[in-house]
Amino acid sequence: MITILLEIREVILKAYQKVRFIVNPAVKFLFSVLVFSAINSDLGFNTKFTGIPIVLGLAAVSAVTPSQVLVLLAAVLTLLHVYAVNLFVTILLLLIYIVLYCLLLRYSPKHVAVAVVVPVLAKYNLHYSVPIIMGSTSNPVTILPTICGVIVYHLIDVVKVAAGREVELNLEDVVGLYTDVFDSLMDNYKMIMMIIVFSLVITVVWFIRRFSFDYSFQISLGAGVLVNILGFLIADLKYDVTVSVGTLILMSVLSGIIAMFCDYMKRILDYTAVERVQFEDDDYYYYVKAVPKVNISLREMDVKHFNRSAIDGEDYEYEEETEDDDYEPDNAYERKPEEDEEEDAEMKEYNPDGYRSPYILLENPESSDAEERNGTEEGEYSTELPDDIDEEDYEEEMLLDDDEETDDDNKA
Amino acid sequence: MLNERKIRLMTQLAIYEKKEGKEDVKLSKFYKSDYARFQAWKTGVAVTVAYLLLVAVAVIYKLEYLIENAFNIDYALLGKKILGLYIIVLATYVIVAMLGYSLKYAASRKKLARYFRMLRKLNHIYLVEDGIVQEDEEK
Repeated sequence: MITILLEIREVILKAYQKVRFIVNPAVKFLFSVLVFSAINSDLGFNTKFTGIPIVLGLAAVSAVTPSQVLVLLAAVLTLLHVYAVNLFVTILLLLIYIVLYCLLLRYSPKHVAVAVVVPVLAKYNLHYSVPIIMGSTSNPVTILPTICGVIVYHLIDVVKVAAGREVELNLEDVVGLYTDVFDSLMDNYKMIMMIIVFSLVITVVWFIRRFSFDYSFQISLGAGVLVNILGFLIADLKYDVTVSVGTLILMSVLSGIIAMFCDYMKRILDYTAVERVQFEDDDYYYYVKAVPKVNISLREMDVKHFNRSAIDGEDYEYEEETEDDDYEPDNAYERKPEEDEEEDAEMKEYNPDGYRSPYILLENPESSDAEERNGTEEGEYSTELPDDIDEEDYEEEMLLDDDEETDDDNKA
Repeated sequence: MLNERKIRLMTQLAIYEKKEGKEDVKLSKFYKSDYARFQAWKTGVAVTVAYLLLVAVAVIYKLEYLIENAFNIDYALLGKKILGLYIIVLATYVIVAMLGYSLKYAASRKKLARYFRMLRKLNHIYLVEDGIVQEDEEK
């Protein structure tokens, strides 16, 4: 059963290798569509940017550029939407973005996308998977972008309310607006608890995953799910943060499964990437497509070896293969004609009368040497073996050829 | 005549240069302490900008209180508090950045060492091709 699953896996891997160049941008495109649609549905104040062509265009740009561009475009889009209704909130939002970048986002450039992943997944209650995935695939530095994502998620809600407020151009109104926004951010226990729990989950998963005991990875994911559930339950009891327990448990477990799948996919992405590189030396330009070998897992066969040492009760000795620095061509052990000649010459020198080269005899029966020894006419071939070749050994050597011939005969 | 071993090495080198090699080679232009210090400086600047913005926002947030008590506030004490908090935040970020970027540099050097080993092998192949050294000679 497992072998069949492994074989299916190999097939999927091979198929993925072929379509990788389409699949990766396509996935990124779909996710970008999700991000921009979510922004438009939450903050769609400026109807110029809510059209489907704009969303598709922005997603297309994000699909073929690094993830930092997606985050930048998403931030600009939110600012444009808010600017359409409230200048003061736009300035405030810009200030908060700069602070978030300076304090949280710039320290883990590879994981910048987390800042938009958390708010989008939170719509489907799947944001619990983010800290588990971060802990299982990366290091605790990813706590910073995750915190950023949590803040952005709650910030969008606050901004949505604030942007709709009528503000006159006087100090009192503006200060009142800013005070309200900060109050609703600072007093947001749900956000603070989420930051604490997510940070804990990342640390716990990362910490346990690094141990070398069996199943440490799976255990770390389980621990992450458990910390997540307990953390939010405690938050619920202590600070009355409204969390639906059933949803929390279900989504946490689902998040653990997603994290496991993501880890599996990460391995595939890391080790099956087809590389196209070009370089040159003095004589050639090389355009190389390097395709990683996908291990084909054949059904396991139990082969038992019996030999003298095993019968005598001696231990087998295995010589461990070490990494071979020197490249050996495939025909390294093939016998070369000049080696035959050298050996012949040596043997003749040693015993000039008694020596007969088996190579001349078997491979070239027309030669005068063979004719002389076997007493055959030119063009005839003697099937008799020379005296010094053991008949059994010879049959063993020729066994393979015989089989092939028989197969061919049968087919005919 | 194509030398398969050479192509294999050159391909591995090219893949490395195309991916993580870019950053590793950039890092290799610095000494470890210089790199960590440079990054710590950048972190310090970013933290300072963020802190200034936060102080500005805090002033707006507490503007009403500040205007009402403009004459009763101990500005020296307030200044000391703001500066003290700034130093604590800055020190934390800078120390963690120094540690983090040092670790990153060390990891990058390990990968780079492997890259140089491959380069040496390639160089040896060239020397053999040119007949300067024998194939089995010490590299």
